[in-house]
Amino acid sequence: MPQSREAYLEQLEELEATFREMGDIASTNVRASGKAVVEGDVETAERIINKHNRCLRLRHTIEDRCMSLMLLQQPMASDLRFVTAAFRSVSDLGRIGEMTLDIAEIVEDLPRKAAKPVNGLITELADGAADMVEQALTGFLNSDADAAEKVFGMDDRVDSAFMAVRDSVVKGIRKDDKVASYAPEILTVAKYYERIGDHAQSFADWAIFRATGTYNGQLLGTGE
Amino acid sequence: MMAGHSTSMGVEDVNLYYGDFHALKDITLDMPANQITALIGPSGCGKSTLLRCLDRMNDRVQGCRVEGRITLGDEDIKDIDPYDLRRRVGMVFQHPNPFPLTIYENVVYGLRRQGRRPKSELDGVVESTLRRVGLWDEVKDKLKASGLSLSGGQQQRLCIARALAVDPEVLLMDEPTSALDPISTSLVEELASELAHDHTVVIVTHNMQQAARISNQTAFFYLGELVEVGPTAELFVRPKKKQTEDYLTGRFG
Repeated sequence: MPQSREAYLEQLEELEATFREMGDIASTNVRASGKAVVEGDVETAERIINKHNRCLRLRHTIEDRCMSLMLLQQPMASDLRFVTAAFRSVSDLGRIGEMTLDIAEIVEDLPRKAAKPVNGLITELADGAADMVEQALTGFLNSDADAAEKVFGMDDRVDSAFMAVRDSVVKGIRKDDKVASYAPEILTVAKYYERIGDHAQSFADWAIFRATGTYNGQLLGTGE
Repeated sequence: MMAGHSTSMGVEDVNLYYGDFHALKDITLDMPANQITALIGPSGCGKSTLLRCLDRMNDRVQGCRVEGRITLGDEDIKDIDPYDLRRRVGMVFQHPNPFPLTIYENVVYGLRRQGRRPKSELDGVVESTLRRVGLWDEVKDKLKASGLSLSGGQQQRLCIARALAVDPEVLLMDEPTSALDPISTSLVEELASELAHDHTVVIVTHNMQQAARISNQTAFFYLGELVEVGPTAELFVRPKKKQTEDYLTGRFG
């Protein structure tokens, strides 16, 4: 493999492109999974499940490219921050992908209108979580710390929608209405979205690191 | 036998001209005691020129003029006798340059120039200095062999021993490992880190990973100017100046 400077820049661009593709799939799938839950749309669930394999391959490609760059090119400064941030945040994207896959599999097992009483909240949760992933991805790809910073403020929407689903399900169980039969699945789905929001925040932390060299308010690389 | 030292070096508003060529421009830099300062930058940026100012090796370069203040501890180096300065500020060069003498004589060369000393004292310095540079076990049975008979990596450690034998306060290293294999390189790097406990070390290197591995602070030079200086990890992770960023990421020019 040629190791010239041009080859190096190409490898960085390829890493960026692969990361962008994985990030796009992750956020699109999160939003689509919400629609699948609400509409009991098995076909959409199927598409999400199929795309998951592509995500797994992308994840391995990203990890491999990061390792190769670190080994063969020993990147520094903004390149080092990019490769490090990509290597770490690909785990967040991976977890987001796995949880979305689980949600899609739950859709396949649920009767069509099982989530109807909380449909509005599930949409709110899925869209809120997808918006967060998209926003973190924008911050990451543009090395834009201000854009990434916005992700944290978006989490309240997801958290409160999750609490509302939980309250609604608890009430349903008490009243033993239709939602009670599928309470475990619905709560799991809601919890997944809430956790996807948490991973989006972790992703945003790495986006900020890429832009500034500071992770969670701490300057990395100083050994402190 | 050798005292621990903690003498910093500093340059203040230093300008250097080779004839009309302005090779160093308003350089101000502290090289703190007991730390390793790395000087990096592309060829011709002035880093070796600055290093050579620190023990007045440019004095005899024709047409060379140095302005500004260079200090060793609190003293202006202009007020120090050049021979004394070079004893207190040792230099190790890019290519190992042992004298065509025995290993033993290479080590005691500087001491002999300082005046007669009892053999037992010289023997002691030879052993302790060669031990410091990790060469004793390799050469103790052939101290009378020529210094030139050693491998490149051993020669470089011999040259470091020669510099250390006169008990300097500061050690200047001008690309000390660029002619060495990776194993010898790591020995010299470890030695430099070790020496920084009781010396002040200033190293010029083209190997940025080396600067990253061993130095406490790094100064980046470009076209005779000091562009940026900072704690090494910070400079390599988050340089503040665009020129530094471009140099580190290989996007120069």
